[in-house]
Amino acid sequence: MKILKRRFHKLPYPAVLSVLTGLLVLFFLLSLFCGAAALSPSEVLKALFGTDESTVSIIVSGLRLPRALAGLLAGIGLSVSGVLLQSVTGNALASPNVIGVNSGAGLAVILLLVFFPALLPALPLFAFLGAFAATLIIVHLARRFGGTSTTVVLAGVALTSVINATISFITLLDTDAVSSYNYFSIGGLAGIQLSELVLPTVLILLSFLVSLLLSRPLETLRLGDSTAKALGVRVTALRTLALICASASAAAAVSFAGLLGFVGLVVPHVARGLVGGRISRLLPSSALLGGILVLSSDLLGRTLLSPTEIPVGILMALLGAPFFLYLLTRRRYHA
Amino acid sequence: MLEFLHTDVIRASHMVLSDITFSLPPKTLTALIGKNGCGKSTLISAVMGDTSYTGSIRLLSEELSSLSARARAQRAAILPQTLAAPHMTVRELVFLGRSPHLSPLSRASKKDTDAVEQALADVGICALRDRYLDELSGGERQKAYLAMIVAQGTPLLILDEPTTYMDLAFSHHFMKSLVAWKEAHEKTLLIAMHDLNLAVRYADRLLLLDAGKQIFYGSVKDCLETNVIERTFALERINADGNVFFIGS
Repeated sequence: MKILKRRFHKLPYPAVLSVLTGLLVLFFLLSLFCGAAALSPSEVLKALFGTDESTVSIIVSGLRLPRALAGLLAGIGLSVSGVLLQSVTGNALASPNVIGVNSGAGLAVILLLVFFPALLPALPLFAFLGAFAATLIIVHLARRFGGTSTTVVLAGVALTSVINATISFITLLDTDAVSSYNYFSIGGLAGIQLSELVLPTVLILLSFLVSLLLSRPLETLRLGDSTAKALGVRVTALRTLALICASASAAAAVSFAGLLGFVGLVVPHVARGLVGGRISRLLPSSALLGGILVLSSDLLGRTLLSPTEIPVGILMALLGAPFFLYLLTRRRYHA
Repeated sequence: MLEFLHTDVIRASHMVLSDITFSLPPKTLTALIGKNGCGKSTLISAVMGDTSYTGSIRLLSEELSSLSARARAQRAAILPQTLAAPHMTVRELVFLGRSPHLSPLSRASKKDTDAVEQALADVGICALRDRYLDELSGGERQKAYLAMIVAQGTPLLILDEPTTYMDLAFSHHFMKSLVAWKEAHEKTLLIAMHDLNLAVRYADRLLLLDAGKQIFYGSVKDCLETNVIERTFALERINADGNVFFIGS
């Protein structure tokens, strides 16, 4: 496996963590203060802490706050999932897509759009269940094939291609559903309500907490399965638990934010460049970085061509991917 | 320390080791020898709890199957044959040797950090502490991993062919310091080895396997009074200056 060589991680860890926290707070506040409607900072503050039902308050508390929280949560959920998946599979290319999060959610959503359009408000729930079910099937298959890092990836690739073919087949049959599906599959944060975020928040924070508790045994997995076993780690059980956390957290993020697969792949690599490979450091710093990436992309997406909005998924891929490639060229790869 | 009693080891539904019976006395170094594929690694993975077995395997007088993975790792440290080289410092690696003693919620105590420092000093790699595993030579990496299982602080240590990637001079140096360390800390060692000359020179006892069966278990002296090694490996023995050497015939 190839791992990105550190470049900046001469910087002490607490310093990196404080800078990232600062940036996250900054982008969160900017998300509240900037937008299509020009509002002064004092108006925003009044709307946030006041009780009146003015237009300003609706814009801030009803639109901008949920949106900022959603960006923050999606970033955390997908990045934490990415760290867990890369560590559990020992594969630098692992991301929520690999264990079927995107395809599972996609299939559930397209089935909903085609067969039960009346249930449209339940779309996030469907997306979550689809993603979670797909990943559980993959985890189960991987366990039956021996529960090693390779079987997880292989089972994921196989099931994902079946599901994606099914999605393509359904979209051929029902072209009306395609445009709504497209919106979901690009990934965007517009029009999210606070009530939609309750369950995802619980799932994402819980997974994050459990993965922090798992960080020491996960660290031993970096030494290979047999060394981890020799150190008294129950490798298959650990891998299963970590995969469940990864899938719950990514599925929760996808349920309201759409298919933002890119975050889960890229953020752990950037974080590794900043703080090194230790899981206990990688998890918090990736969570912060993920929040920063999604919040800043969304902010840019809705201010760049205002009043036209660029969905966060498109912007992230357009700007994020080249930036990631640039980072790769700046660092040496080593085996 | 470690005791097999009429043990059959089953892997992927066929028997790989049959009727193994031996008991490692405390404070001894036993060399586990045999041709490629004779079952050395299987025996070690059985102690790791990785294979099912019939008969009995006892670790410090407790039946292996009744011990949890953690409890097992607190009694026996095992160093596998292939050692990964992630981007991790030597000190971080050695610290992972303490993981059988730490629960997810407990923080590392002074006892743990002391054990890590002691292990680095015992193996003589204090200078390497901040180096990364993927930047070390094969021999240095081997030492780093040895420090890890030393830090584990178990009475029994099992090493799977530790000298495979070492040159001849270094293997002798390695075995000598291992014997000295074993004497000083009253540890029990079981080492799977390819090099028979190293085995008869540094081990107290030999466990010889052939095609999944136990051919010999006993002291090196008793073994050399027979010719089981020559027969099993189809080698010749020469004696020089009181040392025994095996050479191809």
